[in-house]
Amino acid sequence: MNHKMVFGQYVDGSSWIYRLDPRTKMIVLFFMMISLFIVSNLFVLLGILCFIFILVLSARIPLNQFLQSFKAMSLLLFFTLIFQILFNHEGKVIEIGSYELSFSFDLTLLSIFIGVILLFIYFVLGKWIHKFRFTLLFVLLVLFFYLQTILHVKPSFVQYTISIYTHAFYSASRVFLRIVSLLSLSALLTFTTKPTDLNSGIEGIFYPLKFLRRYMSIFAMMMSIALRFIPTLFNESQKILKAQASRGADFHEGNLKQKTSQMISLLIPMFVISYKRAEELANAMEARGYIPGEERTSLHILKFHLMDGISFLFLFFFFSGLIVSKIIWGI
Amino acid sequence: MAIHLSEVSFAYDVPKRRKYPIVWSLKDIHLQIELKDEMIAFVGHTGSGKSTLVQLLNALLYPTKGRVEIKDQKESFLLEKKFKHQEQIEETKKYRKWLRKPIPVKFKLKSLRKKIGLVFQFPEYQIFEETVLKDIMFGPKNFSVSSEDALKRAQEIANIMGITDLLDQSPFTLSGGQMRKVAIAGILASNPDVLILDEPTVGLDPKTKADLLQFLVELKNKFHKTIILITHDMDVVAQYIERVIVLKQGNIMYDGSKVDLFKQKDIIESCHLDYPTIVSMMMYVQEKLNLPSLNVYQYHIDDAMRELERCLGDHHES
Repeated sequence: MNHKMVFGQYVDGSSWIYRLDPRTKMIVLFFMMISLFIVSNLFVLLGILCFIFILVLSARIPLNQFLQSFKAMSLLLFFTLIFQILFNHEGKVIEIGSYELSFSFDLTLLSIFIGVILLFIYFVLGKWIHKFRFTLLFVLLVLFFYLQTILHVKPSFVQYTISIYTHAFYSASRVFLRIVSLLSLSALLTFTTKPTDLNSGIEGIFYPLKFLRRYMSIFAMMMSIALRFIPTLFNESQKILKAQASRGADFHEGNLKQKTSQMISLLIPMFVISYKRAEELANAMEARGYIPGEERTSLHILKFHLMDGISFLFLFFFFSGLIVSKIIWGI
Repeated sequence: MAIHLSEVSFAYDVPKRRKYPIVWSLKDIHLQIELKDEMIAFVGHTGSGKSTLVQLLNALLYPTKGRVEIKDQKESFLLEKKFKHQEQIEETKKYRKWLRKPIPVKFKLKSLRKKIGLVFQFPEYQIFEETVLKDIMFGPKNFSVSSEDALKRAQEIANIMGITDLLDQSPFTLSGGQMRKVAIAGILASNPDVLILDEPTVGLDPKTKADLLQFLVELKNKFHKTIILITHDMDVVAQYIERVIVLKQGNIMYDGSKVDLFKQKDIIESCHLDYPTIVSMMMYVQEKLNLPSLNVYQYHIDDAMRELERCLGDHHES
C-alpha cells in the first residue's frame, strides 16, 4: 500500500508555471485549446505544438512521466489516423518522386494460411513476452499485410488497393497535431496544479457570477472531499481485500460467477464503509458550523501576481493575433 | 507446527531511484514461534510494525528480504520475495528451470490461510452476507468444506461464542461488540491452528472485553490453539499472556516472559509502553509507604493483596 498516494498526475515542482495562479492557468489553457480549433493551417498548428513543448520544458516536468500521459490515448490516436488514411479519398494520390503511395494487396489462400500461423505465434509468444504484446501484434499485422503485397500465388480471393491521398494526409496530420496539443495542454495543467488548487481555481473563476456562486462553492466542496477520500477508500479496500483473503477468498481464481461472488465480499463492505464515513463526515461538518452554500472565508486566498498579468497579456496578443490572421489570411 | 522468520525485512514501498531511502517497516527480524497451547502478545507503539509482521505470517504480505517458513508434520510453506505475485510456496527444486519461473501451486496458499487465521483490527469491515450464519460460513466454504459441514461448524462456533440468537439476523443491525464476535467466529469456523487477533479489544466495553479474552483462554486450553494478540493494553498482557514480543521501529526489542519484561524499565520507557494497573498501583504503594521489600510485579488482584498483607505484616513485626 502506498501511504503517500497522491491522486491525479501532480508532480512536485517549483518552476514558474507551478507558481501561476490556478485561475490563470485554466483560463490561458482554455483559450489555447480553443485556438487549436480556430487554426487549420498545418504549419501554424505545428508552431503551436512546438510552443507547448517549450512550455513543458520550461515547467521542468519529468519528461518520461509527461510522455507516459500519452500512453492511454495512443490507441485512439492510432485508430483515428488509420481511419483518416484509409477512408479519406479526396485530392490526389501522394507521389514521392515518381513513386505513387498506392499499394495493391492480394488475399490468397497462402497468405490466409500464413495469417493463421502468425496468429498462433502471437498467442504462443504473447504469453511469455506480456510486456511487448501490443508491439508484437503490430509487427505481425504489418508482416501479414506486407506478405499480401508480395505473394501472388493462386487461388486468390480478394484483390484490393490502398492509396494514400493528399487530403487524407493533411487531415490526419491536423488531427494528430490537435490531439497531441490538447493532451499536452491538459497534462501541463494537471502535472503542475494540485487537484485541490484546480478546485479552488474553478470556484474562483465562477465567483463573479452571483447566481452560480452558491452552487459552485457546494460543487467545489464536493469535489475536494471526493478527491480527499479516494486514497482513504483505496486503503480501506486494500484492508477489506486482505481481510477476505485471510478468510480464503480468492479474487484471481475461478470462473466469472465465482469471481463475481468474491467481488461482492469486497463491494458490500466498501459501500457500508463509504456511507458510514459520508454520514459521519457530514455530521462532523455540520457540527462545526458548515452550511452548504453559505459564504465562507478561505485559508489560501488566490492572488494574481506579475507573472499572471504577463500570461494574460500574452494570451491577449496570441489569441487576437490568431483571430486577425484567420480573418486576413484564412489560416 | 512451527513458524520461523529469518532475517525478515519488509518495506511497503521500495523506491525505484536509489537516492530515495527505503522506509523499512520491519528490519532483520529473527523469530521462532513453536506452536503449542500458548498466548503470545506483540506489543509496541503505533507504527512499530506489529500489524505488518502478522500479515507476513498469513502470506498477505511477502518479505522484501529474508524468509518466513511455516512447517507442520504434513506441509511446509516458504514465503520469499521471489514468490510474490506467483501465489505459491513451493520448494525451489520443483522449478521449471528453462522458464526460470516457479510453478504456481495456488491451493497451498489457501491451505496456509486455513491453518493461520487472522482477525483484523476492525473485523466488522469484512462482514457482508445477509445473515450472521451465512457470514460465518463464508470462510469454511472458501476452504472447500461442504455446505452441511460448514453449517454444522458455524452453529458449533456460534454456540461457543454465545451468539446463537444472532444467527438469523442481518450483521449490519448488530452492535460493535457483537459484530466483532461474529467476525472472530467467521475465522474460527475455518478451525485454524493459530489464531492471530489484531487489537481485538479496542472499542469494546469492559464486560465484552473480559468475555472475549476469557473465551480466548478457553480456546487455547480446550482446543489447544496458539493465540497471538496484538495489543496496547498492558492489563491484558499481565493477565492473559505468557510470551511477549516487543517491537520498536521494525525491530524486536524484547522476546520473553512478561515477568522479565516489566522488570526492564529501559525497554518499557523507550518503547512507550505502560505498566499494568496493578503493577503501577503496587509501585505507588511501595513508594508512599516506603516498602522496599514489596514485590511489585503482581498480575492478579488477589496476588497483589496477598503480597501487600505479607509485606505490611513483616513491616509491623520489624
